[in-house]
Amino acid sequence: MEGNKLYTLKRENLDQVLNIWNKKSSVYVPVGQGKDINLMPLGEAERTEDYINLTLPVKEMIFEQKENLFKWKRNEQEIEVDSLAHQHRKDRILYGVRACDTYGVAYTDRFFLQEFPDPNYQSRRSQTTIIAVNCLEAGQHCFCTSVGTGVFSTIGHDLAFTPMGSYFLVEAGTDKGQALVSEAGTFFNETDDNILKKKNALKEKTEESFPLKMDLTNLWEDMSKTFNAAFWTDEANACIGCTGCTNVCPTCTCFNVVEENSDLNQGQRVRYWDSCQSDHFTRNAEHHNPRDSVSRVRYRIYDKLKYIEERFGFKGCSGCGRCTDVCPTYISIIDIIASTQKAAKENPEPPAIHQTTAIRHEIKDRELKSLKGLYTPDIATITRVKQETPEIKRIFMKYDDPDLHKNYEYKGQFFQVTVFGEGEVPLSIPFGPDQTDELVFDFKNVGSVTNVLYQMKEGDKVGLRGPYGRAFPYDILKGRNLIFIGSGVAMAPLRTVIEPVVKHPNDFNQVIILASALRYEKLIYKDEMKEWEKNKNLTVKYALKDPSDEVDAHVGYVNDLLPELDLDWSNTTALVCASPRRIKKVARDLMDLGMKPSDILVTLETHMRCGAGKCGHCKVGSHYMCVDGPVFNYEEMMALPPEY
Amino acid sequence: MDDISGAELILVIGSNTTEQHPLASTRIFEALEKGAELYVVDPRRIRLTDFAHAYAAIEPGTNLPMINAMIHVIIKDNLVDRDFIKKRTENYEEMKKSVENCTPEWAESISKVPADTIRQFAHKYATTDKAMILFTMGVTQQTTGVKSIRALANLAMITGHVGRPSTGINPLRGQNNVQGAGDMAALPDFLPGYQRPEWQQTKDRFTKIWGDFSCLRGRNIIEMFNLMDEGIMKAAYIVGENPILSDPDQNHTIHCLEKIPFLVVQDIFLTETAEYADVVLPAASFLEREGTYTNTDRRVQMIHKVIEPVGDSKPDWEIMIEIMKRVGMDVKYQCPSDIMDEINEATEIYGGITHERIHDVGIQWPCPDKEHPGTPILHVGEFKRGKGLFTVNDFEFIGDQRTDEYPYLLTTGRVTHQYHTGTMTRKVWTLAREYPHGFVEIHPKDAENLGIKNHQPVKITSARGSIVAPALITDRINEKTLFVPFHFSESPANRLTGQNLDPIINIPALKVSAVRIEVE
Amino acid sequence: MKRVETTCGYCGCGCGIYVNVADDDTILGITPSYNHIVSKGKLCSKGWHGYAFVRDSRRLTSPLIRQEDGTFRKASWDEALERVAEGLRGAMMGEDNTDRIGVISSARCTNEENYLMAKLARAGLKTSSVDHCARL
Repeated sequence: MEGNKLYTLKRENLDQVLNIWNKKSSVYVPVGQGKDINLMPLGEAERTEDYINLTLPVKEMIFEQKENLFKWKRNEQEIEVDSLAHQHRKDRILYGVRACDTYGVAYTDRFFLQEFPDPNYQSRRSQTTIIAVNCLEAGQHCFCTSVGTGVFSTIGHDLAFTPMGSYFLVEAGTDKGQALVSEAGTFFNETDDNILKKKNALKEKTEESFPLKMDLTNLWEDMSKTFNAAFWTDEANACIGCTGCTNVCPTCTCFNVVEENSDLNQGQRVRYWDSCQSDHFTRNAEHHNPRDSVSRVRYRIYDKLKYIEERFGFKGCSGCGRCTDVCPTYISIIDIIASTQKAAKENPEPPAIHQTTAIRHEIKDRELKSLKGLYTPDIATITRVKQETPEIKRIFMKYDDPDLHKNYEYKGQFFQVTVFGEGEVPLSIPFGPDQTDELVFDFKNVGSVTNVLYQMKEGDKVGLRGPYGRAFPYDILKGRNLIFIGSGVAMAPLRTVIEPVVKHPNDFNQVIILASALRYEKLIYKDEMKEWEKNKNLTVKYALKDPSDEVDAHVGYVNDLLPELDLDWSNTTALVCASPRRIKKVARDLMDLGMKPSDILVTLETHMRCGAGKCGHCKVGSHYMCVDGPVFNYEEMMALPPEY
Repeated sequence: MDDISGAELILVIGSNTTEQHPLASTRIFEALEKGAELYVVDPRRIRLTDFAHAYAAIEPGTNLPMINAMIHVIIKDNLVDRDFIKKRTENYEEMKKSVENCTPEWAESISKVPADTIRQFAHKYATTDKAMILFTMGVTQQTTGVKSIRALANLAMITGHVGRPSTGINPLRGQNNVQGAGDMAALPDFLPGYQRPEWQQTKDRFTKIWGDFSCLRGRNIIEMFNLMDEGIMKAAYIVGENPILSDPDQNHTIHCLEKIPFLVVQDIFLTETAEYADVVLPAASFLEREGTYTNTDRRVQMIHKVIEPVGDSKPDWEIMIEIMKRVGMDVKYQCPSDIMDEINEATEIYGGITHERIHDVGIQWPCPDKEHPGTPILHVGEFKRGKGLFTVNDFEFIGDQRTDEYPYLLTTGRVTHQYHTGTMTRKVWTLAREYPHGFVEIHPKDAENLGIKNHQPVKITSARGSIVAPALITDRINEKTLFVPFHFSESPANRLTGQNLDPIINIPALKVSAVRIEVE
Repeated sequence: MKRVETTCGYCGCGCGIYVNVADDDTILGITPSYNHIVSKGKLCSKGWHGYAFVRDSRRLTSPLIRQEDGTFRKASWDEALERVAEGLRGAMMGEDNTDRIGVISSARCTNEENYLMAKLARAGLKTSSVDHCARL
């Protein structure tokens, strides 16, 4: 927008202005309903100007505590799906928002509206106008001036009001804000730059009045020296997992997706605010939970003070102090910052590699092929089911809409598969880029969704979203030796690369597949492997716990096979899919043989839920496994905090 | 509860406060911030022990010997508050004689708490000015439950820790309105406001309001089930309770519910108990009706209707009024505040508590009239009965103990994210995610001896029945002791618990059952 | 949108909450009450999340009556209440029914409801056997 126009508005005219705006839109104002300050529709309760801050950050109006994503209905054999990016009945004007919260909105705009734009947030945000009212007083736990997000709003508002005695200074931040001024034009008087001096004096005075002043200049360095400090254990012992701190945080954006069924044949998928401070936020279907109570409590603080800024360039903490206000056991981000600075000074630890190495993230807007928006699946029909091993099923399916096959592009590592009424599960893509007419998944029955999927038959309907994730690179593998290392169902993600390699054998030197399992029957792709082996530069070696008559197998670990391989290790790329613990063992042995960590490609499949870097469940450090991964090289993997 | 944050010593006995009463634990943390000390007695190393200045890992069911030994030490070491005893109590000598032999060494032999730890607890408690005791079901649900509470009262009185801010013995109420249910006399031996049915003035008062009524000392839940078993009880009306999961000896409970000729269950879900009903009445939840709850501080607070009752369900009070009419009673209430008006008339303690007065801030009873501000602390200056009575509480073993066949003691309880029988909380995704199923806590040494691995299903058997649950190996529990939460119908702790009752008020000894454990 | 101030229905602490309700009557979530005398803006996980069972599809939404074959069938309120009254009246004999009729009330019910239960038991059904779960 052009040039920042400045206006004054007489305090006594404010209610009239709000009423004018309230005709076209719903104006929300702070009210002292009961005992607490909340945003409520104008006129429902008496508006107040006597408040430090709103109880919940204004994000609750744009990213609501609960939102519907889509509804589904089974009609005999068919399933109908409708996305539900709900619109407000009227546009909303939110008046009285403090600087810490407008900053929060600026960040959530960045978070939700880029890369994979969130349709729910987009629709609500486009209907919302935000009017900041600058603070002249600090609360007990306010520290926006220390983090640099306040005390006056600089970003995220459409209009900013500064109370100056008998009138407000009004500044438009966006065209939307300017339009509001025009709507009630007679009450706003244009004024000149001189008033800014007065504003700045007021700002300085308010800043000086802050009870809390912290110097955060070297905070990241201090944090790198205190990752394992003893105080984290005390904080973790105190935390009872109420999730209050994240619920009241202007920059917390995590959500969980839940099925709410009316009956067996219809229901809705909804999302609720979720919290990384729930013990089991990161637990997967197989009970693996990469965060213990210490890393859980530490993660929130790191996310707020470092990870968000590292990735998005916005402060992750706007200094509102609400998390400290609501903690039932008095865990305080303010005290933790002090503890960090103290421990870094008195008892610094040598920074771990994940504290000093930043790894790349490619931030780019993604295009989705889906018909109905980010969170709504496309319907597919199961065409065939094969019992691959006693525990693993192979399921073949086709989209109901043939256009989706025509447009299908292989550029991802996994799909989100919906079992209607039960939920959604990420499944790796075990087929090559050339295959576009049929989708195939291999999976084990480990959780509630796979349990139902396991029982499904030909003709049954499922939902698909994807493909998501960064896939194994292909072109950079050309001309090299390749080793594929996978165990059991973990062979599936590797097959995406094996398929094209088998088709273009001349592009590669030696190709070795190391397949391991407890017993031969438990291996997937037994027949395919015999077929692949017909390529003369491809060898399959087996490592089994129990000997088998079917193949000549090494009895023991797959690692034992590595030294025997006669390979030019410097021209070799390894592709490994296993649990993080196994990956580390294999990688160490490979590096002992002379491989570079950047030539070891791994896939880290943590608790991925939305696939689009939004729900937060798979975040490790400043990285979303579902967007930045799941494929990493080992060097990158080691630069992640050890919480996967 | 604000009282807690002013204490200098908080002695927590048999209360997993951070899990069961998170907001009461907030006040404990406040007190700790101000420099208070925290002493904890529990068979499990509960979260509070991480912050405790002293911890006694006690055997389940043996609080009484430890308390008596503390009293013994305080008397022997001459730390009693003579002035308080003289002015405000009676029967001291009798009590003193009864604890003569209760040495810390004797208590150690029963409770496994080292004698020196008992001495440390006694000294600290006696010599701290503002020392307060918090307890819950970990004290009451034992065969010596009442004696233990009386012994705690002795302990508080000999040291003068009564009737002043941040002292006293303070039970924390487990369920939202357990206080109010007692106040309103959902009790066999009282009329509303703790008035005895056998007192003539009470009889007169209630006859005036209620007309003719049954004024006997009635049967409590445990006795009611026994009457069902004997075929004497012919009909039962159960509202908002799920005794199949919450009551001891599940097999017995089920047998009784099968046997009773007519059973009505009123609840929000088809609970395990409702499955046995002849008629099930759908009730509205606490978000779908108006009324008052009384919290553990005796504070009467409003609940408001948030949404209309779901489906065709109705608030409990509406259903009750319908039944009252149909059994021939004359009722004229239009809304819950009309009922409260009658409560004002029927009781002293709620005499001045109206919906209008508590609209913004709740009032603590006793509140005898409409001008009375309410009463934050009981027993200031004088005990309700006049002088505080010292009691004699000799310890004896009743009920389950370890045997060769059942070499473990099982204690039961709750986890933060679930509530009682899980009827509501297991249907909340975030709470269900934290604890999707039951478990049994076992000490690493015991697990090693039995070859039990973490998360492995194990079978636990008592004389009453057996359940299967995954093992959770943790050194937060004593050796030879197990813990099972009772929320989960697939692994119901109360299939194992028994009918051993406190002989005085019939609280079942849910916290102490002898069991064995084996790999499934 | 509205926010209804109420008291949390779980433990005996009695924390203050606002329940946020959208215009279409969806319960969105909870706002804590900073100025509540007990909770002062703090809540546990049940306080923050415990409302979500309310519209669960398994809620009982109509009265049920057991049939001859042992299964339940849906019934109208009138029919169900009449059956209840009939069953209770059938168990009433003579002056006092303390051993014949049991009434179990709940700590989940309000004070008003518990009062009604005590009154219904003693004055209506003429039984003194009325109890709740305080012991459990």
